[in-house]
This record gives sequence, C-alpha cells and structure tokens, in this order.
Amino acid sequence: MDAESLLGAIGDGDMAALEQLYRELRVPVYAVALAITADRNLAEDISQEVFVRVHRHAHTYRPGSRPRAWVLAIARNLAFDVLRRRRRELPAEEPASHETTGVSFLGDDATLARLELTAALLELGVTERQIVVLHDVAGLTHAEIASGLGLPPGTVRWKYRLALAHLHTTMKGSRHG
Amino acid sequence: MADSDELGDRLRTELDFAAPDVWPRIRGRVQARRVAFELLAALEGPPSAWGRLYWEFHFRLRDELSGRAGVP
Repeated sequence: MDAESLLGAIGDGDMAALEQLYRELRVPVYAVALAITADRNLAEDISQEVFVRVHRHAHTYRPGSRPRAWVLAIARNLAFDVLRRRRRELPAEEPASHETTGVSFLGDDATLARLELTAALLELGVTERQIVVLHDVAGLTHAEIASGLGLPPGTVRWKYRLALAHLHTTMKGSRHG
Repeated sequence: MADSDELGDRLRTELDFAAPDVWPRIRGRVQARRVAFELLAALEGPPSAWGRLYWEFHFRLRDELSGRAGVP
C-alpha cells in the first residue's frame, strides 16, 4: 500500500496500516523534529505524538494532497508548538535549544561519534536544517518544501546549496582530520 | 552530485541510528484511547467513582498503556 492508501485505512481504524506508515516515515518524522528542536529527547516525544495524531486525524486527510508532506507538516507544527511552550517556560536569559548549536543535545561522546554529520547539520539555521532533512531524508522536492515552508522556490534552492557546502566542508574536514 | 548523494545516504544512516523505535508506545496510546471510547460508549455517563466499571476502566487503561493488554 502507498502512503495515500495507508492514510485511508488508518482513517478506518486499521492499526496494521498505522504501523506500516510508522515504519516508512519513522526516520523522516524524527529528522524533522530533531532539525527543529535540536534535542533528541524532544524529537522522540514529538515522533510518538505525530503518529497518535495521524491516527486521530487521518479521516480528515484529503486524497491527492501529498500524504508524506501532510504527515511531515504535523511533525513541523508539533515541533514548533513544543519550542514555543519551552520558550515560555524557560527563563528569559536561557536560550531555547534550537537557537544553540544543538551538538550538546545529541548525547554522549560515543553517540556523537556516530552522528557527526547530524551534529554538523545542527550547526545550521533552523530553516536550512529543515530544507536539508525534507529533501535528503524525506525525499520531498524543492517545490514541495517551498510550499510547506512558505518560501519562494529559489530561496529554498539557494539555502539548500549553502547548507550542502557547509556539510561538505565538515565531511572533508572529518576525512582529513 | 555524487557528493550530494553520499551526503544524503550518510545523513539517513545516522538518523536511522538516532531515531528510537517508539511504536510500542504509539500502539499503547492509540489502543488506550479506543478502550476509553468503547467503555464510555457503553455507559450513559462517566462511571461512578469506585464502582465496578470505574475499576474495569482503570485496569484496562493501565494494561494498555503498559503494553500488558491481553496477557492473562
């Protein structure tokens, strides 16, 4: 079943369809949440909540309106909601996690060694992180990303190229370092 | 282009490692919600405190959330 059919089945209460959609979109959903929050614990909680909401709202999905982008939009909205709540709860002088480099939110040294490129990604701005993840991990086109983020397609392509240049530099540095 | 593909592959591999499997928790939450709706649908109103239905509701939800539903 493709994602469109899965959403239809989920709307009818099919748990197997929900599990299949979860297996297909688990990594992109987590990547979007991590790109926005720069925090692995928050990204984990958001991933869980996204699929609970997909189950609850699948019947409102309109066929033909890009199912992957629909699910990822839920992830984006939830991640920004979580950050807004965090910002209200944190003291004014303490920055929200997405405003920092994010590296310290990835885990211990052993984990960091396996997430070198992810750490480099989190050094980018939050918009650039989303563009890279939505294109390279979720497989959305630049036009779909532009539509989802409310940006001109040219801006998305330009920011994507800048982000890639930064990540390539990091990869080359790690090979030579 | 080859560099971009390599970068995308590596990012997907890293994130696949980083992303935890939260399916058991999702399933538990979805099933607990279904149980709650079924029980509420079987009643004319909320169960009275400490009655038999209150405890049935309590234990079924606890079992669903802890992943023990169906275990004798």
